[in-house]
Amino acid sequence: MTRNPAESVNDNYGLISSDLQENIRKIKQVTGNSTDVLVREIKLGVIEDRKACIAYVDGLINSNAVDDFIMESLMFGNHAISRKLQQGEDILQYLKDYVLTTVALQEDIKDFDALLNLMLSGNSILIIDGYISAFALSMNEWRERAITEPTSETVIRGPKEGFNETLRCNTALIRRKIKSPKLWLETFTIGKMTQTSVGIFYMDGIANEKIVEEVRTRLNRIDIDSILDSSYIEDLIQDEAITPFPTIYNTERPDVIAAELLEGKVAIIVDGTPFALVVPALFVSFLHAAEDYYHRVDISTFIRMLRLLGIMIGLLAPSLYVAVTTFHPEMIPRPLLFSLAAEREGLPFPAFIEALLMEITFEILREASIRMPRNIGQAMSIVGSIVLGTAAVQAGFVSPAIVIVVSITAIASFVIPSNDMAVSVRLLRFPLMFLGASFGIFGIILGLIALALHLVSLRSFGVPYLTPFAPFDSEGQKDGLIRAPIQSMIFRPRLIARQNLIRRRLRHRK
Amino acid sequence: MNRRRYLILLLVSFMILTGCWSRKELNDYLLVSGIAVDKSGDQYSVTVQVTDPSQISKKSGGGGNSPIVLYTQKGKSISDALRRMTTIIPRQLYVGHISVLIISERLAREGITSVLDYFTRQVQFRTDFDIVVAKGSHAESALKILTPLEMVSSTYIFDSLKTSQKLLAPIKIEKLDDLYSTLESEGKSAVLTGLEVTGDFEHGEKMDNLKESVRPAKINLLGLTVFKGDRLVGWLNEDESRAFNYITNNVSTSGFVTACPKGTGSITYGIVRSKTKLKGSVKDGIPHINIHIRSELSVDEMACDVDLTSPNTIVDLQRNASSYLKDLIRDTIDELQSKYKSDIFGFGAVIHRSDRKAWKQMSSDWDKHFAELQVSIQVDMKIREIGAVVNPLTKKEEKE
Repeated sequence: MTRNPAESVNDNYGLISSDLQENIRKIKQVTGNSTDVLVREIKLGVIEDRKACIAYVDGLINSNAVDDFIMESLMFGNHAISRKLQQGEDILQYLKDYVLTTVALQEDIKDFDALLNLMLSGNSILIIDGYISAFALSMNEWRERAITEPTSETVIRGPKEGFNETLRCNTALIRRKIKSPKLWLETFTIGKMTQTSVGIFYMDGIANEKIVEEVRTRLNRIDIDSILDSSYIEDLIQDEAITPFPTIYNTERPDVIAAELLEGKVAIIVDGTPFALVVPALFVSFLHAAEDYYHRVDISTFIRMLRLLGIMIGLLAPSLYVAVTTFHPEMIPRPLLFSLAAEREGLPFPAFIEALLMEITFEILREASIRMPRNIGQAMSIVGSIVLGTAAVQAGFVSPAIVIVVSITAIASFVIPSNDMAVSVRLLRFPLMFLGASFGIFGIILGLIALALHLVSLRSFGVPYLTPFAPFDSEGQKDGLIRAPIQSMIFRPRLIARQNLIRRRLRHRK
Repeated sequence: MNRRRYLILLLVSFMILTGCWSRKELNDYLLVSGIAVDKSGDQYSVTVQVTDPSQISKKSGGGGNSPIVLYTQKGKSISDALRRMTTIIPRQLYVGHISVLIISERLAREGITSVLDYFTRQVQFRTDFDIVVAKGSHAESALKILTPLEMVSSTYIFDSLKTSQKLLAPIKIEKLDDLYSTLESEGKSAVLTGLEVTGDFEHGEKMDNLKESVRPAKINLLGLTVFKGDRLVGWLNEDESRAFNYITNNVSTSGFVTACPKGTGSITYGIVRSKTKLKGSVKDGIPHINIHIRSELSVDEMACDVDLTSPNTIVDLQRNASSYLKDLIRDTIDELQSKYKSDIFGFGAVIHRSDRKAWKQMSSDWDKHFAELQVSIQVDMKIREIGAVVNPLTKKEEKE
C-alpha cells in the first residue's frame, strides 16, 4: 500500500516513552536513519547513573553551543545530579533550574510529533531515561545569506538593506526600524510538510483590528503541504484570483514594510524568502517607490507624474499606433502622415500583425534575458538590438515606426517600480492592441472602460483597490499621484487605519 | 458561472466574427493633397493631386520621380466624378488630408453651393483645408505645377497663404467651416482668396521646374474675390484686399507705404499690432457703421526729410499714416457699395447685433441698404518703434 506523503506527517507517533532506548530507536526509525540526525548518548550522575541522550540535526545547530551549554553543564554538574538522583528528587526541575545554561529552553515536551518538529527546525532535544517529557534547547544556527541591497528594488538614496531568507533575521530588521512595544508579531506554522513559519506584524492601535483578524482567518484556513515562497501565501489568501492586478503588495525592503506598518497595514513575513507581503494593497502603492519619500517633494512629484505617463505609454502606445494608422489617419498631422505612409509603402504585414510580432519578440527577448546565464547576456543584446531591430527594418519586414513604438513601450513599462504591476501592464497591452486593431480608438476606449470598471470592483482585504481616488479621499491625494511634503501628511489613510488616524499633531495644538 | 462563460464566448465571437470593416492600412491608400474642381457645361471635372510619400519623405530623399500625380475625371457631380476615378487609379483615394480645394473662376461665377455641399457632407474631410479660386486658368493648373522646397504644390499654396496672411495681409484664409458659416449667415458675404498660375505651364509640370533658380512657372496669390450669395462677382485689388482685412480685424502684422508728409520720397510702416472695432446703429432708416482702428506701427524704411527725434514729427507721421489708411478704407467701401453691392465686411451682422428691430426690416433687402450705408472711420496710429537708426543717411550727408 502506498502512502500519501502528506498524510504521513499526520501520523500520530504517540507519546514519548519512559524507555530511553525505545525513544532513540523511534527517532532513528522515523527519520529513516538519516545521516544528519545525530543522537549522542550520555550518562548522568556518577554513583547511580541514569542514561540520557541529546538528539539534533547536524547543520542546523551550533555544535559549539551544544558542547558548552549542554554537555559541559551536564558533566560538570554530575556530582550534584548524582546526589539528587540518590535522593530520588525530580531531576528535570533541577536540570532546568540549575544546570542547563541556555535561555531558549522548552520543557515538558511529551508529544513525539512536537519533539520531531522541534528537532527538525533546529533544536537540540534532551531526553532522560525514565521520564516521559523532554527538553528542547534552541541553539539553531545555520548558514544564511548576508543582508545585502535588494536587487529588485534599488534606490540611489535611502536605506540599502534588504531582507534575507531567515524569518528571525527579517523580524529583527523590522524591529530595528520600529522600536515600539506596539509592534506586535504573531507566528503561524503553515504547510504540512514544510512546517514553514509565517509571521504577521502589525502596529497595535493603528492597524484595523478587523483586517488583522481577517489575515489570521485566511492564514488559518490555508491547507497545503508546502509553502516555499511568500507568493504561495499570496495566492492562497488574495481576494480575487481572476484579475491581472496584484491585490497584495510585496517588497524586499524593511523600510517599506516599516512605513506600511505605520500606515496601519499588516505585514506577512514568510520564512525562507526575502519577499514580505503587505495587506491591504492599493493600486497606488504599486506606483510608488521607496525613494519617493527620500527625495525632495518636487522631484518626487515629477517622477510620479513621469511614472504615470510611463504606464500610459506602456499600456496604450502600440494599440493607439495601430488604431490611429488603420482607422483614423485623419488624426495624424499631415507631414507625419506622409512620412508614415512612405515607411509603410511596400510592407507585407498589416500594422497590427507588425505590432504583435514585435511585441512578442520583445517579450521573448525579455524572458530570455532573465533566464539565460549571465555571461551570454552580451551576445543576446547584440542579437536582440541589431538583428531584430535594424535588420527587420532594412529587410523591409516591419516599418521603422513600429520599432520605435515597441521600444518606447518596452522602456516605458520598466518605469513601474513594482514588477507585479509591470507584468500586469504588459499583459493588458495585448487585449488592448487587439481591440485597437478591430475597432479603432472606439475599441481602446471600450477596453479602458472595462478596465476601469474592473479596477473599481477590486478590493484588497475589504479596502477598495482604487483608494484614494475611488472612493475619493482628499487627504489621501497628498500621497497619491503627487507626493506632498511629509509635514503636511497629517493623517494616516482613512480606510486602512481606522483607529488612530493622526500621524502628526499640528504644531499649534501643542 | 455558466452565464459568465456564455458572456465571454459572446464577446470573443464579436471580435472574431465581425471583422474590421473600416480598417485600412496606410499603404492601401492614395494620399490626396489637393483637389481642384472645374465645370464645363453640366459636367464637373474633378482633379485630385496624389502624392507619392516615398518621393517626399526625408529618408529616401526622392527618387527623381515626380512627387505628385494628377488624375482628372468628369462626372455629373463631384462624388460621381470621384467614384468614376477608380477606373483610372490603383487604390482607394484618401481625401481626409487635403490641404487646398481650388475652385475655378468659371465654377465660382456659377455658384459654389453644390461644391461646398459635398465637402461639408462627407465626414472624411478635415475642415482645415483652404479654399481658393483660380483666376482665369483651369483650376487644376495650380496643382500641376511642381514647386521647390515644398514639392507638393498644394502644400505650397497652403503654406504661402498662411505666411502671406500673416506678413502682408492682402488675402484671407477661408477654411471650409468658416466659408460655410459665412454663406449661411445673414448680413455677410463671402470672400475667397484668388490665385493664378503664370509663366510656362508646360514646363512647370516637369521636374525641370525644380532645377532652375528662376522658375518658368509660378503660382501667384492674388487679392480677394467678392461673392454675392454663392456666386463670384468680382475681384479686389491688393490695396482693397488689405483694406478689407483692416476692417474685419484680420491683420496680425503687415505694412504699407505712404508718401512723405513733405517733399518727395516715401515712408514704409510695419504694423506691430492692430485692432478694429465695429459699431453699428440705425438712424432714420439709414444704417451707420463706426469703424475704429487702433494700430501700432514701426518705421520700417524711410526716405523722407524729417527729424524722427522730434515728437512733433512723430505726431505728424501718425496723422499722415492715419489719413492714408482712412482713405484706403473709404475708397474700398465705396467701391463695394457702388460696384458690387455685396457686404463682404459683415456690416449687416454688426447692425443685427446692435439694432435687431431695424435689422428685421432691412434684412430682406440688405444689399440695397448696404449701398446707402454710412461709414465713419476713426484711425488711431501710434508709432512705437523707429528702428535701430534714428534719421536716414541721406539727411546727414546733405548737412555736411
